[in-house]
Amino acid sequence: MHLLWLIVLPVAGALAVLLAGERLAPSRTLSLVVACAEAVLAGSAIARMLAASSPALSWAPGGVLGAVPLSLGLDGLSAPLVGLTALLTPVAVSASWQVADGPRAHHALLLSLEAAVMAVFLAADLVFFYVAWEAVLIPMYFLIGLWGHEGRRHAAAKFFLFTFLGSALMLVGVLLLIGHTGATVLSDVPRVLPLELQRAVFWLLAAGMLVKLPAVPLHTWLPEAHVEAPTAGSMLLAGVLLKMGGYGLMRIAAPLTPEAFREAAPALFALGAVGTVYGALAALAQRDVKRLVAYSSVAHMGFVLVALSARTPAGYAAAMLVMVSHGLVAALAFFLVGALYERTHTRSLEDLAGLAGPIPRWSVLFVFTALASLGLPALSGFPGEFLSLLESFRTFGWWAAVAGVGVLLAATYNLHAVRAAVYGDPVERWASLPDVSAREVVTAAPLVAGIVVLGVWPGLITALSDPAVSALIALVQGGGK
Amino acid sequence: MSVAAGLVHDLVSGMAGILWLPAALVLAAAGAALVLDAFERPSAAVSAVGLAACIAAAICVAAALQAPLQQAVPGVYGGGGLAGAGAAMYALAALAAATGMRTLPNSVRGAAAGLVALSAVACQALAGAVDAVVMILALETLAIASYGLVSASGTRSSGEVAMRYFVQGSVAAGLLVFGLAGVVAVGGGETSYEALTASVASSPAAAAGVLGMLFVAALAFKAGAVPFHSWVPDAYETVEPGVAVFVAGAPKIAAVTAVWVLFVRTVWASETFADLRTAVAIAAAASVVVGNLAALKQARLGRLLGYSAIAQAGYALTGVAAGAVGTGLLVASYALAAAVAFGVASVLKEETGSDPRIEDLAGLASRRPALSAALAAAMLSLTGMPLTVGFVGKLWVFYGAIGAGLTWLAVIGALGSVVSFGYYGRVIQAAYFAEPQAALADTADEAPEAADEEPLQPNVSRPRAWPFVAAAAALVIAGVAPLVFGFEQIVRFFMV
Repeated sequence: MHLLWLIVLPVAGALAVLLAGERLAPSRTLSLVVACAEAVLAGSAIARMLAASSPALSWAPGGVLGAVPLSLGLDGLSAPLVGLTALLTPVAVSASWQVADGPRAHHALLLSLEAAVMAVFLAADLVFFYVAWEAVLIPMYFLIGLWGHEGRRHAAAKFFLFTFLGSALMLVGVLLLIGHTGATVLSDVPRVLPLELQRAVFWLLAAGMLVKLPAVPLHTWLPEAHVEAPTAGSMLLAGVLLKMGGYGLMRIAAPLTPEAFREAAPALFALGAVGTVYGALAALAQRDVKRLVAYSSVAHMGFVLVALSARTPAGYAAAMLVMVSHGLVAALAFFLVGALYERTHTRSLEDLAGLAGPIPRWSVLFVFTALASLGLPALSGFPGEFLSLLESFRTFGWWAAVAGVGVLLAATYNLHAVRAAVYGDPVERWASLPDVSAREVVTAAPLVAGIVVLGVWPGLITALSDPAVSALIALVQGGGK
Repeated sequence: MSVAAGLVHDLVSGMAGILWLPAALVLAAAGAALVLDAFERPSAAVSAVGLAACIAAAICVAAALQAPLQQAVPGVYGGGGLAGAGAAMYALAALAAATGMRTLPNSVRGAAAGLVALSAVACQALAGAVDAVVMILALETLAIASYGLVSASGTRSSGEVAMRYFVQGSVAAGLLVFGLAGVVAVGGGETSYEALTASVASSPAAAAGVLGMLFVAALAFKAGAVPFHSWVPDAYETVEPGVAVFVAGAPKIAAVTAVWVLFVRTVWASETFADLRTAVAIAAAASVVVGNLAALKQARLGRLLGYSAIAQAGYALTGVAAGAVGTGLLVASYALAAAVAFGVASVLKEETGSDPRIEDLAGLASRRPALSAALAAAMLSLTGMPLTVGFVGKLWVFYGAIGAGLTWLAVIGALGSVVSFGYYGRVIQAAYFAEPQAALADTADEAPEAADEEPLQPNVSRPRAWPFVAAAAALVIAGVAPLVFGFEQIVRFFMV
């Protein structure tokens, strides 16, 4: 029941903000307190998990449809993402400090989004997983639709319909799975399904997860949703929501249908490799800096597919590293772009130039983000992408070079953005821009720290995830236990 | 105090004997409503029906929890899931009465309340019928009451729509009576479902198929499934929203339960009727496709809900074809969500005097936050989003369909749900995301005199919105609670 508090606390916090926000205390303070408490709670849950004797899949028993379905579990695969969510939410709350239009609803939605995402990562039951997966849509839909920019209505509808289409197919897959295994609970017991059925289930599940990730032909909702969403929405969307796709593939689709996953691995690799190149090229072509960051997410998430399609423990670890790193980097990037937009009211790279002079602190942070994003060693982007290239080279040989092109292109678009915005002659128009405030520096600090720590010590994540990853890989490679 | 407790105890323990009580109570209220109407006290008539329906619903809830499925009166079963369905139907009647039906002309309000009460009783009889003659009588009573309710607003279009509805309904009734005649002839005078199924199954396959098809057609007409759906959008658009709270949902629960009792509990057991099952599955798929696609283009809330009702009938028939245990829950959750939507429409109509178009909802979220939250919850439940009861129903129906080997039907249903958000989501978008001033300017252009009149004639009392906010909360609670306490209880409550 300990884990349930991780979901209950933000829900209760959301209700409290909705009912008492601005009366007892400002909504933003309330929700920051709740989000920080949640972070502490998540930290203690992870510590308890590590202290427990078996940190591998330690799911609760039971959970056949009809009996009590609420079984939760925290293990090495979910712990990094739970930690990421718990870290990003206070940052996102702090990033939306200036929201003046309906702050109660805004902060309540942020907290309920956190609850839903937590539920996704903690669910140890297929039905509960699906419920949480869908529940994430609702707060995000309203965040985009109510606080977004000009094209928000269209972006919100498109976001909802795309992801709902994927998850409706996923529901059929989940139900097929439940119907044939007779159990809804996830565990490390291998379940052998006929190959035909495995294929159907895998691709139905993957439909939902690839849309969420997003893999390239299914990504078109993403740029719009990211660009139109308010800053906190973009941060959480890129930071944690996309991770649900990779997590779902690693946790559910691959172990439950290992044969089909083995067959599909080359296709997934191809989707991922194309994504890394396509995302980077598309980012290079953008003039809107927020859109550029959005496309860079497509490129980065391509590496997740490249890594996990290797079907090895190191591949899984690489996918996890890429996801956590991208969560930090993308959140920081969207935060900085949002902060810039608040000051300049433009996101166009053509209007921005020479910002290093008027706003040096912002520029330093932005350059730092770009370097992390392009995969500079000693920052968080490097270990994950390097390891995923290495693993895919082992599995797919020289085809991995395609993803390598993606790495090179990542340097191009990131440096392009830096050159356009930060360098160049100072422009009269931006001469008197206020630099990032102390609050904004404090907001960015955890992300910066995380990026550095992860870059220097990637073993932190891999050690955390290793027991669960080896248990899952045993299922994926069909060895059983 | 102890007397009351004793009374409650007697009531619950003696549940078996008094399954007829809710119907009797509501029927008495229908009579009282007509008398009160004759004394020109329409508000009292509406209240009487509402009160009786509330009590009846409470008794039904107790019966659903306590009494097993059994014969209530000869030819009609009650208790168990049938009592659960009854509770939903009486609750809808109570909700309809809660609107006060004040958008109707005063001259027909009392009579309309009486008709709602009569329909509720007919619905319960139809749902529980285990005898073909009883079923047809209940169906016809319900049909005639529905024609009256559709035409109650007294406008020219309502008369025309009711007439069309009546003519189409008569054809369906004709088919049913013809089918009954054939069945009785084949069965040698027996009319109970069990005897009929046995005798028809042993008759030539062609005869069995044709006769079964006649029954399916008549019940599909009542449920509003393709290809017998053309009356639905007109009727939903024309009927007063306050009345639609009841009419949209309750007859659907009754018809689907009747189909369920007839086919799943008796007919599907026999191999002879495999074709019939395929026919139901195809009608289900067609309803999902046609209803969802046609609803996308609708501008009026009532008409949108009408087309969506066709799609929802498709989901219900999916459950029937598959024999999915969640079918009862699915229709009940549909009916409650539709009731909330029409309840909100009724409140808005009372305030503005016209049937709401979707763009008129602009700015609702800032003007009436609770009401628009209720509307959003209803729309999400109709879509089948998790955390609402609509999801639980669909989950079980799709699960049943996959278990019965009808995976294709589950896929169509799931994709249909996605399409359905195209229009349900439009309602939410209008209420939450649209700029209100544009819509206000628009209405001012179209009907300046209406805009002038409004402030001069404020309503005597504000329309009651809280019952619908409470019902919307119930949609969410019933969707969340199963996650914690398990899905079994809520499904069992409506399981026949």
